[in-house]
Amino acid sequence: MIVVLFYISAVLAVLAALNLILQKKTMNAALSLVVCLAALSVIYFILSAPFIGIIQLVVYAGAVMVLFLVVIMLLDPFSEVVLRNHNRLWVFFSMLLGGGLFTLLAFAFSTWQPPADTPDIPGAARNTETLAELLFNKYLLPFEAVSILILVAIIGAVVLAKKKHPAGS
Amino acid sequence: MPVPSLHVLILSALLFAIGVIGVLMRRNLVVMFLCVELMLNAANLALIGFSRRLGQLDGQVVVFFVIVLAAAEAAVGLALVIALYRSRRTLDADQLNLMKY
Amino acid sequence: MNSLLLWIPLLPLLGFLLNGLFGRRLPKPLVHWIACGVTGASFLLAVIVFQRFLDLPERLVQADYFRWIESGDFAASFGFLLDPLSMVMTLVVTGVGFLIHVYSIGYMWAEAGYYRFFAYMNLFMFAMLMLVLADNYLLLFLGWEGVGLCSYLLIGFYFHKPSAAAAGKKAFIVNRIGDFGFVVGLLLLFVTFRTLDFRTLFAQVAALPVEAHYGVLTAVTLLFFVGATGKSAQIPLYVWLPDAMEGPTPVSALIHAATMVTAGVYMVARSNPMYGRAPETLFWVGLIGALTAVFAATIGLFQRDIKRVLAYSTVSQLGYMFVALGVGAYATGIFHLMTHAFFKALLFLGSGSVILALHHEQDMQAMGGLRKHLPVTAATMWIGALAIAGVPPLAGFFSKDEILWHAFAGGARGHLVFFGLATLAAGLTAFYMFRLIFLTFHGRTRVPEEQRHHVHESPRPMTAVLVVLALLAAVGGFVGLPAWLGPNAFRDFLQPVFAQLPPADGGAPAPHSLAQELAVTGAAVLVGLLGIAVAWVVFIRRGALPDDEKRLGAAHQLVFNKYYIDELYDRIIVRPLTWISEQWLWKIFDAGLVDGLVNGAGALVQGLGDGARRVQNGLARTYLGWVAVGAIGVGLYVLFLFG
Repeated sequence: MIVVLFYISAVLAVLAALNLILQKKTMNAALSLVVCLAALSVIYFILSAPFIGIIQLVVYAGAVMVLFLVVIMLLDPFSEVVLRNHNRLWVFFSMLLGGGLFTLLAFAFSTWQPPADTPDIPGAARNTETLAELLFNKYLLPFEAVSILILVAIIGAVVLAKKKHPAGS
Repeated sequence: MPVPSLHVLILSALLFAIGVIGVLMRRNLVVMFLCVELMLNAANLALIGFSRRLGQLDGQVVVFFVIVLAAAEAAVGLALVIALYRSRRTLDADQLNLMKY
Repeated sequence: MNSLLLWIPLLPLLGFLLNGLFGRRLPKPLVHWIACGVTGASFLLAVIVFQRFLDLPERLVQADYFRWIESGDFAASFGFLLDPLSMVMTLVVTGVGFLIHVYSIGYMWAEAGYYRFFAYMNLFMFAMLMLVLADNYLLLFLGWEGVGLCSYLLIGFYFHKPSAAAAGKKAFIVNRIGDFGFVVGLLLLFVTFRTLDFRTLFAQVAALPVEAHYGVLTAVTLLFFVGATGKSAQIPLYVWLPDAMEGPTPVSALIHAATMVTAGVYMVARSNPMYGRAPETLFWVGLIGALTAVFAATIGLFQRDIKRVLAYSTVSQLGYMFVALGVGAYATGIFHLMTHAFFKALLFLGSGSVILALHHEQDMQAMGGLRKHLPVTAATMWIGALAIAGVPPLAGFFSKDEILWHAFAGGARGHLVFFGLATLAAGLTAFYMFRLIFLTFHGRTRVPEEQRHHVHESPRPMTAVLVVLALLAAVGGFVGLPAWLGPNAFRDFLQPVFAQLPPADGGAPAPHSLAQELAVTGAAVLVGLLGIAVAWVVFIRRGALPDDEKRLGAAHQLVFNKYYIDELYDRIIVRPLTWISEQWLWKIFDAGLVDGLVNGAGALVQGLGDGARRVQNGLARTYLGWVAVGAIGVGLYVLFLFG
C-alpha cells in the first residue's frame, strides 16, 4: 500500500517537474513546482523522515514559494511573455547534458553496493527527537553558522531589493 | 514491503536531470531559479534515500541545512532578480550579456 | 688590537653612511666635520696600532672576524692581515687621505653636492683600507672593486658635464678589462690551491719544489698583472687615468695619484711569493713598467693642461714602481709608492690651489708669474717638483735612486734595459715638471687683465695641508737611506714580508761596489738636474710658451695628441665592438632572435587567448552548460578512475 503511494507520488513529482520546465507562464511553472514539492514531502514521510517532510511543506512549499509568487506577481507584465529557447541545437545540447547526467547518476546509484546490515532508523515517533539531538550536539556549530548565514541573507536581500534613492536627494 | 532504495535514487536522478534541462533551456530568470530549486530538492531526495538505506539520521540533518540554505538563496536571488529588473527592465538571461569579452 | 684594527676601515664606512644618508639635510660644516673626523680618527687608530705593532715579538697579526662565504670546500673569511706591508699602506692611505679630506674643505666649499663628495670620499677610504688590510684575495678583490666604484663616482662627480660622465665610464670600462684578468687569475688560483687565504696560499707556494706549478704560477701572476695594469694605469690600459682628471682635484690627488692607482703595485708586492716563483712574469712587469715610465713621460712633455701633465707623470711614476717590482726589489717599489704618495698628492693639491685661484682655468698658456700671488703654493710646488725630479735630499731622490740602483745591479733579465729606460724617464720627468713650474709660477703673467686682482692664495686649511705634505715630501725619504749612507730602516721593516723571496731569475745579484752605486746615484741626480736645466733654458731664458711648442711641427702634434692612442683604440677596439654590437648583436641577434622568440610567445598566447575568449560570450546559460559538462566530467572521473 505504502509502496503504491510512493510510486503515485513519484510519477506526480516527475510530471510536475516536466510541467515546470515546459509551462509557458511563469506563474503556472511556479505552481507546478509547489505540486512537485508537496509530492516530495509525501515521499519523505514514506521514507521515514516525517520532520523533514513537515519542514518541506512549511518552509519550502509555504514560505519560499510564496516569495517566488510575490516576485512573479510583482514583475507580472513580464510573466506572460514566452521566453523559451528556439535554438534547436541548444535544445539538443541541453537534452544531451541532462540525459548524460541522468545516465551517469543512475549508473552510479545502480552499481552502488551498500553495506548489508543496516540498522533501522528511528521510527516516526522518535524521529524529531533524535534529529534534534544530532542538530544541537553533533551539528551545533554548522547550525549556528547557518543561522548567521540566513541573517546575512535577509539583510542582503533587503539591501539589494531596496529602491535606490535617485542621485542627489 | 519497503520501497526499494534504488527507485528512490533513480527518481532523484530523474528530477535532477529535468532541473538541469530546465535551467539550460529556459531564458526567464525566475523559471531558471525554479529549476535550481528543483535540483536542490532532487539532491535532498537522494540524501533522504541514503539516510534511510544506511540507517543514519545525519543525511536528514544535511537536508535540513539545505532547506535553510535554499531559503536564504531564494531570498538573495529574488532580491537580485528584482534589482536587475529595475535596472534592465528585462528578465531575459540572454540579454544580460554585458560581461562578455 | 683586533678590534682597533677593525675600526680603521669601519670608521670611514660610518662616515659614508652618515653623510650618504643624512648629508643632504646636514649643515655643511657638520658634513666636513664628520668626514674629516672619521678619517682623522682612522689615522689616529692606525698610528696607535702601528705603535703596538712595533712592540710585537712577531710582527704579524691575522684577525679573523667572521666567515664571509662558505660553500662546499670554498671558504672566504672576513679577516684582516696586518704585516709590515699592510701597516705601511694603512698609514699612507689614512694619513694622506686625512690630509686630502682637510684640503677638500677649502677646495669643495663652493661646490654643489658637498655632502655627496665627502660621502664618496669616505666610502673610498673604506674600500681602500679593505683592499690593503684583507687577509685573502677575495676580500682584497672586494676592496679592489670598491675603490673602482668610488673612482667612477668621483670622476663623474660633475655628472652634468658630458666629458666627466664619459671619463667616468671610460675609467670603469677599462678597469673592467683589467679586472677580468684578475678574476680569471683568482679562479685559476683557487682551482689549483683550493684556498685564497694569503698565508695558507703562500705557505703552499713556498713549499712547492721550484719547478712545480711553474706554468700555473706564471699564468696566475700574469693575469694578476693584467688586473694591475688596469688599476695602476700601465700600458696598454693606462688610457683612463688622464681622462680621470675630469674629477675634482682632491680626487685626482687621493685616488688617481696617491692611493688607488697604487693598488696594483701593492697587489703585486703582496703576491711576491708567487711572483718570485715566476721570473717570466717579473720580466714582463719590469718591461711594461719601464716602457710606461718613458712613454707616459714623453706624452707629459707637451701637455698644456696642468692636471694632465701631472696625470701622465703619475702613470710614469707608477711605471717606476713596476720596474722596482720587476727586478724583485719589492720593498723599494713600496718605498717609492710611499714617497710618490707624498709628493704627487702635494703636486696635485698645489695645482688644485692654482686652479681654484684662477677660477678653474687649467691651461698653462693662461698662467705664468703666479708665485707673487700664490707664495705658499709656489713654494710647496717647488719642493714637490724637486722631489719628483730626484734632487737630493728630498724624498723622491732616495726612492728613485734606489730603484735605479736595483735595476742596475739586479740580476734579473733585461735589468740594464730597465735601468736605461728608467734613467731616461727620470730626465724627462725633471724636464716636464719644471716646465710646469716655470710656466705656472714664473715669467710674466698671462692671466687676463680683468682677472688678475681676483687671484689670491687659497684658504688656510688648503695651504696648511700643502705645507704638511711638502714637509713629508722633503724628509719622507730619510726612512730609506741608501746603503752607503746608513741603515735602510724602511726595507728592514718590510723585510719579513719579502723574506722568503728567492733571487729573481735564479741568479744572485751581480757583484757591485760602492763606486758603482755612487756612480749610478750621480748619474741619476745629473740626469734630473739636466732636465731642470733644459727646462730653465727653454722656458725662462727663452721664455717659450705652450703655444710656441707648436712650431715643433709633426713631432709636437704626435705627442700632444698622445700618440693618437685613444684614436687607435677607438678604431681597432671600440668601433668594431660597436659595429658588431649594433649590426649583429642588436639588429640580428637581439631584434631578430630574442625579440622574435619573445614576441612569438606573446603572439601565440594572444592567439590562443583570442580563441579562448570566445567561450566567454556573456550568456549565463552557456556557462551553466559548461558547469554541467564539468559535473559530468567530475562524475566520470570519480566513478571510473577514482572509485
